[in-house]
Amino acid sequence: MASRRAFLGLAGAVTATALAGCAREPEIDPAIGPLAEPGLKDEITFGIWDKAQEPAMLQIVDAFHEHYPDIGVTISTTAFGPYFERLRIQAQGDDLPDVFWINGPNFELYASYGMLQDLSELEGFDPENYPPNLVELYTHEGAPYAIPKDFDTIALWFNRDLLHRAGLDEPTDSWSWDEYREASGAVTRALGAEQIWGNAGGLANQALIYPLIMQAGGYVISEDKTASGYDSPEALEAFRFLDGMIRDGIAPDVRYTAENQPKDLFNNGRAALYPSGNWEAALLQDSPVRDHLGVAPMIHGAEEANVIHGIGVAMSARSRHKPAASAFLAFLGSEQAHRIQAEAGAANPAFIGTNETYVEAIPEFSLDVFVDAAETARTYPASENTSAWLQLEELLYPKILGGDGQLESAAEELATRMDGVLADES
Amino acid sequence: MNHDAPRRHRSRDGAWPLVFLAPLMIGVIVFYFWPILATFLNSFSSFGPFGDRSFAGLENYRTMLTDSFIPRAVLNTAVYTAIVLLGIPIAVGVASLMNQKGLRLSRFYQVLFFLPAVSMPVAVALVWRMIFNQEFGVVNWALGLLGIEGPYWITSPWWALLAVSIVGLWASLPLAIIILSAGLQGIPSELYEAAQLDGAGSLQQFRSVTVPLLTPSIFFLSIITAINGFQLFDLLFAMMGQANPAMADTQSLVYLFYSEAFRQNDQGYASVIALLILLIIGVFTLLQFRMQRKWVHYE
Repeated sequence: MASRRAFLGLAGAVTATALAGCAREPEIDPAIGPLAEPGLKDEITFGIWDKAQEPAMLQIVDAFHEHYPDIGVTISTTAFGPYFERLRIQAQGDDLPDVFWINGPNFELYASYGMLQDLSELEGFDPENYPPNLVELYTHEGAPYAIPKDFDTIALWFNRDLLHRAGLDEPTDSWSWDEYREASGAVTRALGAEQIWGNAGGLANQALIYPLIMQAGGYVISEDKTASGYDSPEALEAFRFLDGMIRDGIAPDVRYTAENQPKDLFNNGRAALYPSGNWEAALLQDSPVRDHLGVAPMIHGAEEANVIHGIGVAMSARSRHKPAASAFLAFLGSEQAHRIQAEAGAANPAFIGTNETYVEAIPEFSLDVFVDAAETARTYPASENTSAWLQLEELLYPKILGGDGQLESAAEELATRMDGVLADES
Repeated sequence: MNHDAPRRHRSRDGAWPLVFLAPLMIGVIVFYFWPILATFLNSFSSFGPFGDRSFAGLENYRTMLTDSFIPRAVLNTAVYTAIVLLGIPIAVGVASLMNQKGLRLSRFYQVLFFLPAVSMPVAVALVWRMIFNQEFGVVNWALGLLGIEGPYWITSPWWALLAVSIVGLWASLPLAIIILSAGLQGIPSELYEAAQLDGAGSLQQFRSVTVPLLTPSIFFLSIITAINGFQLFDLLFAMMGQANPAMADTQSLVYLFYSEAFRQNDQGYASVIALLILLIIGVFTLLQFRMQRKWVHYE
């Protein structure tokens, strides 16, 4: 008996410790305070997820050191896949980096749980310097909680060689849905025997399905963030447009694109048209068919619509180095920092007036198309628990466009499940 | 005095038995019993994304009853497990052939059959993904030689499950063959000599001597294989990849658990799924232990 009681006691002790561990009392000084004095000696951490942008970030840190030579900045790069899983664990353990990248799908979650510093009082940060639809993405309850770092919009990438071989001219202005469909059909008919498609198909949300739904006059998530738009007539119209091209053999079907990514099809000259973002420029610069590639404004439906998204830089609300972190964050938001990342060709800068630097850094393509699109683009749809319904999209888009008569029922299921996620948020 | 004897015996040992047990027991408690208990408690909780939680009563259990993904996941997991269990008779055949007396190159075969066990699962899954590719895969190329147009293995609902199950079966063979080889080497050769004297041919010997005496190993394997089968995750995850139209219809229970816990941020509901997996494995294993009395021969 003694032994059993001892074990129970041990188990009890473990339980008690674990429960005590859960109940921590947060002490947050909500004020951001003044920037660090130039002579301040401190160490801060900076969390990012893109290895390719690390050199540009290091250059920014070097430039920062000209103003604050004694503030050490340690960059910690985690692959995008586990980045947000890790960030969530760091947040739970009160161990967030002082300054870190955040994106649209995750912003609201961190902001609403008080993980991010309110930047309204940050010296040297003026939201007017960035596109308003991007500032809106990083606004929570009327206050900014992250500074836009860069942005991407969507345009129509094309392969002029394939278009010419099908007897078509390359697009110079925005094509309508019908023109897009006709051009895709012409290429597939002319070159299908060589396994070349008119367009690359696929199921991209930000680059394809979101803009199409908006172009049909619909929305992905209602303005008050309580309802999914996936079962609306407008969303169904967008899905039917894509479904029709698959059915008529103009675009590859979803099983084909699951095995052969649209990006790869276009990059290897096996698709003539590919709606996607400016982030493709880095890859397409080295494409085997790069000499034939160009970019035109995004297609349009009943309405013109584009989607803008960009990375934001945020500060941990519980940072123990707020003066130093504020100084670094303010510098990250400055024109100088945005020009540095633009010159490196790392990302399209968000600071208004610095885009020319980026456009000139990759002269192969006329990337100003993406900059022009920013003016009227709509804010990337997001809610508090966006990652939950992003997974539902991943699971159900392929069923909607699977071509086996489930378009309406699968869209309905996506909307119902997404509504469930949104109901849990409030 | 008699009455007192065992008690005094115990007190003389003092805490020593506990001390010796402690290293193992602490591990078992901390890494097995405590998580099971915590999962049970969590199943009644509603979780926030940063670990904060509140009592939710039976809500997570109610969610499970209405979740249309669950029945399909149970079915998928059961089908996968059933197919992987078919690997055991295959392994019995292979192990018997490999353990024939005087077989040339037997070492070579042992290495060959053990290779899958030392390969990295995700790398293996990616190679199989290519093998099953609709356009360029070896499988459909071979089918094409027979005049059959192969399906989209990885991206059609039932075909994908079949493809994953075939790979799962293939990956389960090494362990089975090792254990069965050990079992085979434990069968006394006199039994075969006696059977030969009685005029039994090799097939008869296999049926009446080899298989009955292997049943303890087979039983052990069926328990282990079934438990592994019910825990299907990494192979499925790596083979299916992103944006796969068959994914919604090919989810396993552990895959559902993963998406609820780490993608949907709903650790309470994920706990209910974990308990369901535990329950299914428990019941199935119990049934196997009940049924073994009918077919397992211990000498």
